[in-house]
Amino acid sequence: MAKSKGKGKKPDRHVLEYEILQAMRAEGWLAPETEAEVLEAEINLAAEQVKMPTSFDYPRELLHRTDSVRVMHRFQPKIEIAQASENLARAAREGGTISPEVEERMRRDRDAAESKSDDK
Amino acid sequence: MVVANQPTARTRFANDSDEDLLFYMSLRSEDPTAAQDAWEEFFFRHREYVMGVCRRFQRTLGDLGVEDFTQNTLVRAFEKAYTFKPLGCKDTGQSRARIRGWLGQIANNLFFSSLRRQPKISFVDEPRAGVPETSTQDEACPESPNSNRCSLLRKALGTLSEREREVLLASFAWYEPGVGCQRMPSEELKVLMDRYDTTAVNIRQIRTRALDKLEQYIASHGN
Repeated sequence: MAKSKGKGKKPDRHVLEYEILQAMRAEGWLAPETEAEVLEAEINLAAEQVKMPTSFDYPRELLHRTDSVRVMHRFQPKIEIAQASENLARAAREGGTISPEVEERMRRDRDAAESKSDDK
Repeated sequence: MVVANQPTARTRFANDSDEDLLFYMSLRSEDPTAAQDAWEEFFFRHREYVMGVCRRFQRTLGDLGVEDFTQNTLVRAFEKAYTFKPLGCKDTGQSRARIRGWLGQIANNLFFSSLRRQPKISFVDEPRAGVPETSTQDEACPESPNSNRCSLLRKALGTLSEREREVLLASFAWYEPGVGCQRMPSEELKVLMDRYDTTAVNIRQIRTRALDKLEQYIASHGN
């Protein structure tokens, strides 16, 4: 099978992507959007016990603190603080005199650690 | 102090249909009290369902994320109630399913937007988030003309690895109807690179390989 290269895309990949999106919903990767999908989900959910947290007992409070409610959770790569600290400590162990190479490495380590933190 | 016999928000709208509740919710500028009372009734009617379907995002969002996400979806429904186009349908089951489909659209758009790190944009007004003005039944996977193909695709999705699944799902945050998935921005690629400790080239290859895998599955299992 020929693989798509660069900016070019197989013409039927657009169709495939649309079909995948539908299949993802049908397969339960995403929330149901069509009536048929909703009915199927309702049947499945009926067999499960959906336990509601107590915060759901006071909806008005949710409505009035929408700013804080809208904090979006998303997957978070691990913040490798330990690794960054180790890198810095390795440089610090060089002692009082820091060679330009070590100084450069410390700078790179710090930049990498800060860059990772900023991305979280 | 709560006055005895004073109707609570829930009893006030207990006999109204879901479409009526959405109508009152859409009047939040004119009558905020009625809008909030209607939303409270709406909230209690649909919270279990919304929580149930939002658990589908648990792998990405975590347990606490699902709770917040459910709340966000229902709050967003309050804010965007005016975008819902009522059908005036007498069949309460069909009406409920249609409204829950609309809630599903909101949830999916919130999910994709969270992947895009843009939690403050107006989700429901996005191209793929258009409120269905006609029944979307024809788009339902099981009823589509290519239902056999859809069924195969569902099975094929099950063959993907965790990594392929996450990368493919993330790429759909940039899906546009009629255009397909757009190129994933480098910042988002970096998040995936960190997560899987790999390179941007590899992430793109994982996605391509996942699509190839799905195509090959259909080719080998279809008639």
